[in-house]
Amino acid sequence: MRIDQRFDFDVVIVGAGLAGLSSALTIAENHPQLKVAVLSKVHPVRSHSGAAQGGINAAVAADDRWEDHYYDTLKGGWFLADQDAVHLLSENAANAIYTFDRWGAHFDRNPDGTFAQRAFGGQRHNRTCYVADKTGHALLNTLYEQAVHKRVAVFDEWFVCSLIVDDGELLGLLAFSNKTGRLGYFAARAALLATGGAGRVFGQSSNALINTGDGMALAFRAGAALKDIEFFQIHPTGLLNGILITEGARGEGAYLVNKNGERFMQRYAPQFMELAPRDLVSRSIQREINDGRGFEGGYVHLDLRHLGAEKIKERLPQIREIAIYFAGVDPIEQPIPVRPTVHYTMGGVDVNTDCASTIRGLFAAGEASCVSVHGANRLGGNSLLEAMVFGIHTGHTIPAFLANGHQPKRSREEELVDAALADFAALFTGKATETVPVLRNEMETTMVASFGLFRHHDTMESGLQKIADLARRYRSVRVKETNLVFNSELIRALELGFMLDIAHACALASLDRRESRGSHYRDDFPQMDNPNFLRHSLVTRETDGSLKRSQKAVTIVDTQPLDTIKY
Amino acid sequence: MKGRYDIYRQRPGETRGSRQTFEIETPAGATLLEIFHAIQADVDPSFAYRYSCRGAICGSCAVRINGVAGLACKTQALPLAEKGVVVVDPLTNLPTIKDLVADFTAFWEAYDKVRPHLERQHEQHDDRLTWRDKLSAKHLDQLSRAVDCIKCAACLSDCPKRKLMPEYIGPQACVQLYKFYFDPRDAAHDFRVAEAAAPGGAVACDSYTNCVKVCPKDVRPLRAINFIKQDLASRSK
Ligand SMILES: Cc1cc2nc3c(=O)[nH]c(=O)nc-3n(C[C@H](O)[C@H](O)[C@H](O)COP(=O)(O)OP(=O)(O)OC[C@H]3O[C@@H](n4cnc5c(N)ncnc54)[C@H](O)[C@@H]3O)c2cc1C
Ligand code: FES
Repeated sequence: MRIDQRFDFDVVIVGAGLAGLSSALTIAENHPQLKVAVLSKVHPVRSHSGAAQGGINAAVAADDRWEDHYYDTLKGGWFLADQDAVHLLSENAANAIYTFDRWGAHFDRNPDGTFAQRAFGGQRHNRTCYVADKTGHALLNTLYEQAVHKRVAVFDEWFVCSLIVDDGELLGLLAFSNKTGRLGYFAARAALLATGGAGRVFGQSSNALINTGDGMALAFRAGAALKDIEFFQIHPTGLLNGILITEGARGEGAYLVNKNGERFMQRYAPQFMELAPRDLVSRSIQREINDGRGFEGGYVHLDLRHLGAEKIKERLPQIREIAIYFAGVDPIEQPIPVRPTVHYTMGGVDVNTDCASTIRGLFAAGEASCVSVHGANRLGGNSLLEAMVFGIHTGHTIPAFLANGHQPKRSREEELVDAALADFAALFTGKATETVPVLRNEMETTMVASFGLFRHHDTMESGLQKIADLARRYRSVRVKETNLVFNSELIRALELGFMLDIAHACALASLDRRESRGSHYRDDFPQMDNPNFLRHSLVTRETDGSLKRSQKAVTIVDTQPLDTIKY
Repeated sequence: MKGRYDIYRQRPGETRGSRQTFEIETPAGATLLEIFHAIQADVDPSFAYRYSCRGAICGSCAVRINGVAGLACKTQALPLAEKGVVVVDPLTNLPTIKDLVADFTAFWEAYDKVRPHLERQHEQHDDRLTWRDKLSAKHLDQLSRAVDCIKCAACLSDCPKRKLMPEYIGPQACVQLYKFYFDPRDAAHDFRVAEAAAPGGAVACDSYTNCVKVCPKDVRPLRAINFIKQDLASRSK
């Protein structure tokens, strides 16, 4: 196997969701002299950002203040977020909205022309701007329109498979084109990973099928740390294939029912019933399933029938459509099978407030990164915002980094590229004794069982062993098809490799965090423990392949963390 | 039950392929995209098709299902399989790269051609948005539909006019044109009018209505085209 083409860029951006494209566009607008390429394994408009519905938070209302958004975000994240990063997020939120408006986004407006905003959980103000129920889709498409307009060079359907790093400095990356099957080496002075989340590590996930955490794993393999990777947010109601049924259904009065026909929330939150806080509802559903009161196959029912055909058609048409098309169930006639679904990756590549990782020249932004604005739990509407604000932010910090003429030393480049190529080629040589679907399935079920809603030392310990074993077995996976054009077999194999790395890091970090905080809930340590665990977890891979765990202080600027979180 | 699926296969680099039959266990609730996953995982790992969101919002997975373009992820498999053999082909009016994967180059060329972005008169955001007041309710409705377009190319695939006249930009590009054509903020109006009136522009549409029928997001391209045509007609008066 050999490189078909070498490319030379100042900046290579991996990922064309809101984070990646915002960065590219900001550079194009302000630093047109820089040569920038955007690589994405799917066409930009197919990125997962397009699936976000609800909206994006910003204190744009006359009677709201970014300082309140700041505090709500800190508290929502159980004070694990870095305060300087959250400061950047909340103070720049309004500007991000204005920038997107300037680019042509169709934000909904009030009759007087000001931005319309809806209420989202955990916030003291209606702060969430939106474009109907298609916010992510509308913003992503607007951004793509402007990217085409500003002639951003997009390499769509190019899959990045490894980073080339020498002595802690980024040299470039290896990628292949799905369309042509060509293998390229992209030499760069800086690279941005904007590759999105890793929800697919779990068998039950609301994430797009492509959210396999590639960028996190690429950085991890190259020596960067994964930070707070034990934190995955779980949404209470997904269809069996993970697709979200929004809280709106319960808001309109839907019941959660187990196989005995009981409204089981009676047991867990008699006062609030189905409208109790998200994590409590998630845990209650899972408890029912674990205790054998779920339906065969592990789910409960979301029952809307008592609302009547008229109300369902009038108030919940979207939810009805989703149930009909994606689960084959008309909620007017039948209850909808649901179970908790992994929704968001709080952890990611450890970066500072410039979004720079510990590898010189390597940056990360959006869901792939952990600059740490979400802490132990993200607020709804803060993640699109993070992708936009820090995407735009890197559009300034990366050019600043390059301004002094930074040129990585390329003396060992050829040798390192050859080594990466040899690793790649090894996937195609020899006999396979393991297959991707089998390993993937085992990983997914292990992660749900051991690192899902209820974590406990014993189950996590056996989960860790299982994941380590899967990682070992993964080395016996081989790809038969050698043509790189839309090679499903190869893509699935590479993605599984990435996910196993993340699963492994998640397992270690989860075991080490002997407290409960945000999405990380432990039966054996049910309390939040600031004196011992108000710290970021870091997992790195040593050159000998072993994984190392360490901790890092949380940046406190002006707000004293609370010792318990209550809403 | 086991469903029978006759699926188009083509090797990369070749221009012709043929259908292959797969018998796949089809439980209630499974989507056609999930059937593809089962084929890829259990029968033939090299089977190629596009996917991303599996929730009808990214536009990756459009194929022709029993001869009509639609999203695989939004199609329930069992009701189809119960009726008989399910025939799946790649989109038409675009070349095929491999199996069910169509080459979108021409699709994106038509998109780029209409310059689908807001050309601002000024480089500022709108503090108070009042331009929408200038649009009638029917335009606001159509505009919201235009925003819904997921660029899946179902409409282009099934457009008879595009087949007859390859220079025609097709329904999707017309929708993009419409998105900015009536936008009072836009500074490129003259360009848009010229583009619509050009030989391969919106005027080329012969109102076959297929685009309205196959669109998985109810964007109604023909309606957008007719709004443009009406405007062009009123200008020539
Ligand atoms: C169902 C759902 C609803 C949501 N709703 C909301 C909401 O209402 N509000 C909110 O704030 N957040 C919401 N979120 C979260 C939010 O959508 C994401 O966090 C955000 O869009 C992430 O943006 P991103 O730019 O970081 O990554 P993404 O949009 O995921 O983009 C990742 C990019 O990386 C590319 N990529 C990945 N791997 C590779 C590789 N190996 N090679 C090349 N390219 C690669 C992909 O092609 C893609 O272009 C929701 C999430 C889900 C799952
Ligand atoms: S997979 Fe996204 S539209 Fe079908």
